[in-house]
Amino acid sequence: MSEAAFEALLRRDRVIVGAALAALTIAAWLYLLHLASAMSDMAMLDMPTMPGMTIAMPALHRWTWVEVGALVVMWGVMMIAMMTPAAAPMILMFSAIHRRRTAEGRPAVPTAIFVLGYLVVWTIYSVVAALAQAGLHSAAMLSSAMAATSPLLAGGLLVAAGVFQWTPLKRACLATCRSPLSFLMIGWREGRCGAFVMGLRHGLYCLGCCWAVMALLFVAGIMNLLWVASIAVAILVEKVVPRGDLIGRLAGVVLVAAGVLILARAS
Amino acid sequence: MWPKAIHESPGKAAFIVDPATTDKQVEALSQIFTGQVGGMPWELLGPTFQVVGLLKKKITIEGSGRKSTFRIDGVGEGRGDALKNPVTGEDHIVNVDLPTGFIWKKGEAGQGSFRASAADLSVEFNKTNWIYYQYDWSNAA
Repeated sequence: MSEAAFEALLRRDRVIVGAALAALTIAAWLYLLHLASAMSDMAMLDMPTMPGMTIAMPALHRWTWVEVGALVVMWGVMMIAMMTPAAAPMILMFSAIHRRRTAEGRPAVPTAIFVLGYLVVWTIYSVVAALAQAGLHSAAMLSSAMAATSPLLAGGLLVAAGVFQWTPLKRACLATCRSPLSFLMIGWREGRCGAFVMGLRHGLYCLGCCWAVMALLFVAGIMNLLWVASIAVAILVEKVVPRGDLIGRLAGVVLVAAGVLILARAS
Repeated sequence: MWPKAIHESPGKAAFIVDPATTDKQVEALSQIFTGQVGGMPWELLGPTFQVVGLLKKKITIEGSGRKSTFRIDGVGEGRGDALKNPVTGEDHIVNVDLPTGFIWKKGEAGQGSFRASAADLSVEFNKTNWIYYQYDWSNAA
């Protein structure tokens, strides 16, 4: 293959992977929009017998597994919507290596396997978050808009997330997430299994970065899409913008201040 | 040289080889360094830069360990030294032992200065990080 044809192929492939990631993100966001509008419609109808109603209501009943399952799906889709853009540089770099191998007739691994490993981590987080949400609903600590009703919970989460921004664990995870090159150079593994494990490991570093800020969804409403989008943008900025780590730490100060304010007003 | 983060590309590189290098050797080296034959780190780094020049110049390496010097005629030179005691100015010898290091295991740390310019590219660093080590990248799966 000539060098020009090869470069054209690489460019085309980059566009395909990039478009697939964009499509995944857009589909997840559309689903969230649909879910959010369905919930507000149901809340207005005030008909407790409607299916799915319990998700939107501060239900004091015992949660069924089907309802918790619906919450897991909601969280899972939300994590895809929020994390895919931030994970894109790493995914594109991984796919760059394998598409080159494909073009040269060497054994290659589909990028989807790497992405799958990454998403497994966030799915597990979604299960934990959904269980936490069900628990908080049962304890009447979340409103029908899925926002914290207790200032102690809201303020506490803000302070905790803000402090976490300054911890060595956060710094270490963010440093790894910010440099796809060093992550792949240090942790490269061959084969499908290797790709899955690398996706899993990247997911873990990502989780280490973002679990606390994700928990802030409980503060202003899990289906408050403006809040969801703001957190997603903050995660993206922290990860890809030059000196994003510094911006993240400054955001931590703002979060602590907001949390302290809420706690002070409540007392 | 990479204008942004390395993974954001596009970088530029100029290769300099000894005048005695044959075309066949140059071709083999270029296949390694552009990642065409696989293997880390070049498989990963190769696609992030474009080769903008190839020069054949005399390369001289002198000294030993961290106090090595290398010079490329008409292109530039690099000069290594030990870290210095800030009070007395005496050599302060520091070695780094990285049993699980994936690029190198044992290194002689020091300070180095280098400058080079070729094919529109130019770099210059003074008293910067300088570690003398045996390159040991096994590429074991």
